[in-house]
Amino acid sequence: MLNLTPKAAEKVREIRELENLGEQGLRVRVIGGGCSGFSYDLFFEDETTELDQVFESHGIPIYIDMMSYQYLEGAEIDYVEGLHGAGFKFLNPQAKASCGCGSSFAT
Amino acid sequence: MEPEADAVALLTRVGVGVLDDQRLIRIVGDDALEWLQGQVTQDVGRLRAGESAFTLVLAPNGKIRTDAWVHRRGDELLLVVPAVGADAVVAQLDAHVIMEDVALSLEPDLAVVTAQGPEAATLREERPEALDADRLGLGAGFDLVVRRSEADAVASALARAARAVGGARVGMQGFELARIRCGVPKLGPDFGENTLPQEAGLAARAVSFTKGCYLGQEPVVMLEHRGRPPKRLFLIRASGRVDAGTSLATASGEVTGRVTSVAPSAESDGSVLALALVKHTHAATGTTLSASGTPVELLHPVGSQDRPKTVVS
Repeated sequence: MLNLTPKAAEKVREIRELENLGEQGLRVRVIGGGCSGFSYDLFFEDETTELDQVFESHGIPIYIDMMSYQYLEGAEIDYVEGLHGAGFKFLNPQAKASCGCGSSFAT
Repeated sequence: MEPEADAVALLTRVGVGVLDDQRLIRIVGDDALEWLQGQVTQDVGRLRAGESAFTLVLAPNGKIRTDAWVHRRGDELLLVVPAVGADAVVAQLDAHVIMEDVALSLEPDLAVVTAQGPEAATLREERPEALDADRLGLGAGFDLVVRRSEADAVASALARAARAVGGARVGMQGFELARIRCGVPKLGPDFGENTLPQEAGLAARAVSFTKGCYLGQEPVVMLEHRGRPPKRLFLIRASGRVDAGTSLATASGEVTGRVTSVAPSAESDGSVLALALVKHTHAATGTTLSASGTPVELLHPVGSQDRPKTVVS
């Protein structure tokens, strides 16, 4: 399972409406690269494949391919705002380390 | 093959040889270039077909896993890496392929024949399949990737062309002598998993500070912006024979460095060139230290932009 916090779900919905994306879901994946070795990637998508795990969190469909899911199981996505900027933040219990900006991690 | 004559051929004309200490990693797939961009220090994402770049693969802590020449050849990428640690490099890279369309393979049946030196460009004109790799920083140099069983024959043919322009077939000892005279560090003796790129003098040559994120980037960028590296690789001149591993000490006996590589033969004046890692407290051109009683002068930091012309006996 992967969850959005209420604030993250609200922000996803806001962006989706701004971009006129209807009821599209959120594709979450892990890709190789980034300071710590693995990076998170988020984008809207309206199609799933047979390799996907499909969830729903606060009304937002979430699609994760099964390879990425190995690195994301139990994670939570929050939305944070501060003096240094704003953005989605992954709280991933499988990440043993992450880079300063939080966009990449190591297991 | 005589190391001194071979080194002179490399430094002044062109030297041809088989690089027995290198291995090839092949990377294929639709995502290969974009994926590799996130794994290495150099901006390889800009490479077009036929182009090459020198890069590093880092561990997550920013220390060096290996150096590598990346060649974009048709639809594939070739990484030429030192044989020592090649398996570990493949393992690290492979561990960072998730769902990308990327396949990696170590190619033990392929070998590298190289031509290095100022006249290498002349030989390259006849070799459209050549892959640029200026290994000694002499302004020209290329690799030919061939079947291992054919490497000797290919090197012999290339050496004939080299002799026509005053060059020679050269051995590994000659390469080693030329490498140290040029102040080019080597994975294993001079840098590795205890060395940051800036310490080895490889940042200017192998690291892009504008390309974006890659594995191990954070410590490298922090060091670049926050201050000098704790130690620095130097080309040194010893007044007599020294051995790799010998400590360098100040006049008061404080150990402040270590000899990492030593040229296989002496210069014409009897001095011996070597590379050494020196603590920042004494890492200054012109500093004199002692290697077990033998006086040693720090000539210049490896990789510095203002280094003197290459030493040629």
